[in-house]
Amino acid sequence: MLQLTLNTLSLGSAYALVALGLVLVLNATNAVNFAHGALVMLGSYLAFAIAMVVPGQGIVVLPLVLLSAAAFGLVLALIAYFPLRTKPVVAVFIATISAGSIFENLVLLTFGPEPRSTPPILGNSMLDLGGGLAINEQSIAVICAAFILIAGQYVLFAHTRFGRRMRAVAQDPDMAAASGINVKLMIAFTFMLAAALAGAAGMFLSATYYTSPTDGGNYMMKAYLAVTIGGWGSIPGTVVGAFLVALFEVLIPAIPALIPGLDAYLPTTTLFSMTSSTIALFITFLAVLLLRPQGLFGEAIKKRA
Amino acid sequence: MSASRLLDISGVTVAYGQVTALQGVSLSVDSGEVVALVGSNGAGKTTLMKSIVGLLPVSGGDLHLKGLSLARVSTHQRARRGIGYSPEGRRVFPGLSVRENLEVASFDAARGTAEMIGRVYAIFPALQEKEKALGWTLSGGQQQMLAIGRALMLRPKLLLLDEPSLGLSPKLTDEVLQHIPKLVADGTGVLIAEQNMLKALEIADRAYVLRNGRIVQEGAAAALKADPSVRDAFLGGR
Repeated sequence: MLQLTLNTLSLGSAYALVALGLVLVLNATNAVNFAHGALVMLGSYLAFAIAMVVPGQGIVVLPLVLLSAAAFGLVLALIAYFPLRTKPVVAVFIATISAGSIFENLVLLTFGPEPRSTPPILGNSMLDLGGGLAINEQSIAVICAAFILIAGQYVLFAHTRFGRRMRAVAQDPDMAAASGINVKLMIAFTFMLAAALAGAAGMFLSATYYTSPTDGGNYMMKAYLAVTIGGWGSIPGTVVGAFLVALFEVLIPAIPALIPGLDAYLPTTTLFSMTSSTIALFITFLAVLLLRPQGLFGEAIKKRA
Repeated sequence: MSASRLLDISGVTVAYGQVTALQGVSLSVDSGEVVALVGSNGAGKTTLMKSIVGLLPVSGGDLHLKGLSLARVSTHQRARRGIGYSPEGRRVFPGLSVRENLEVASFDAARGTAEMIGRVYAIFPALQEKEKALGWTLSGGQQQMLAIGRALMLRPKLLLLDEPSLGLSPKLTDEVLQHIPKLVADGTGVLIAEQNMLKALEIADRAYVLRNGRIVQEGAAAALKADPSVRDAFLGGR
C-alpha cells in the first residue's frame, strides 16, 4: 500500500513536470506546444547519452540534462514559434508538430529504435524501513527532485521580478512590452524552462519505464489531459491533473491486489489492466469536459482579462 | 528644434489594410508641457498613441524622441528610453498584485524600485491600501491609477495617457486628472487623449484637434477652448 502510494506520487510528480512545461508555454504564447512530448522523450535520450560520458548517479547527470534540454527548448522556439508569432495560432500548432517529429526522427537516427533506460537519481534499491516495510529508492528520489523543481518554478514565478515579468508577458504581451519588458526574451526563456522540466521528467520516467523514440506522443497526451482536467492555464490545477492521471495508471491495475478475493466475482485481469485504466481515464476526462468544461481549477482571471 | 523638444512627430501615416487611420499627422510635445489630443471616437487618438509606443507600425512619416529617430526602436526599448504609456481600457496585469504590476515595469535595482513605488503610492494612496490585491479585483478608478502608476515606474520623459477618464465617475476623473500637473513639475512631458474635452483643455497647455485621422486644428488650450468652431464640433454634442 505504501509502495503503491509512492508509485502514484512518483509517477504523478514526473507527469506534473511534463504538464507544467506545457502550461507555461501555453500561458506565455496562447499556443499548445505539440513538440512538448518529444522534449520529454528527448530528455530521456539526453540523459542516456550524458550518462555514457559522465559516470555516476543520476544526480550528477540531471543538471546537464536540464541545461541541454533547455537548449533544445530554445531551438524549438527559434524554429517553430518566433517565425510564426504573428501568424494564426494554428500555424504554431503545425510547426510544433513538425518540430516534434523532427526531434523524434533525429533520436531514431542517432540511437535506433530500441527503448533505453537512464540511471536512477540515487539508486534503485529497496530501502528497508523495518517492520517488513520497504520502499523503492528511485520513487522517493523522483518525488523529492520533482518537488524541488516545481518549488523552484513557483519561487521563480511568485517571488522574483524576472518571474513576475514572465507572468506579465503571459497576461498581456503588448502592455508588457510597453512597460519595458523584452517580450521575446521572456518567451524564449519560457520555452527553455518548459523544455528543462520536460527533460527532467523524461530522465525520471525512463529510469523506471524505459523510453523509445516514439513515446513523445504518449507523454504529450498525458500532459494535455492533465492541463485540461486541471483547468486550461491553471498551474495548481495542472499539478493536480497530473496526479489524477498517475492515480488512474497506478491504482486501477492494482485494485485486484488491494482487494483480495475480488477475482472470484469479476474478470479482474480484463477489468483492471493498464489498458482498461486508459479507458477509465479517458471516460473521466470526457466527464470532466462535459460537467466542468473550465476544468477543476478553471481560472476566473482569464475570463475577466 | 528647441532643446526642450521631447517628442517630434512629422507626417505620420498609419493604415490598417485599406483603411487609413492616420494621415500625415505632425505634432510635438516639449518637456514640462501638457498637450491634449482631442477628437471624437474613431478620430485616431488611440492609433496615434499606439504608433508612438511602437505597438502599431507606421507606414509613413518620422517619430523622434529627444532628437533620436524611433524608426528602428522596438516597443520595450522605447519604454526604457522614457516613453510611459497608460492605455485606453487601463490593461493592468490582471493576475499580478498592485505592487507586482508596478515592480515589473521598473528597471532600477531593488532600492530604486522601492523608492519609485513609494512615489507612486504618495500620488495615489488608494493603491497602497490595495497593495496585495490582484489587478482584476480593483475598481475601474483604482485600475486607472495603477495604469498611470505603472507608466510612471519607468521614470518617463514622456507620459502618454489614453482616455484616463473613460469609465470613471466625474469625481474620480477629477481625482485622477488633478495629479497630472504634479507629474510635469519635474520636466516630464504629457500627451493626453481625452473625449472629455473640457477637462483635458483645463489642464493642458496646448492641444491638437484630430478628426478622421488628420490634425484639423492646433493651438493654446485656452484659445481652443474659446474657439466657437471647436466648441460646436465637440462640446455642443456632449
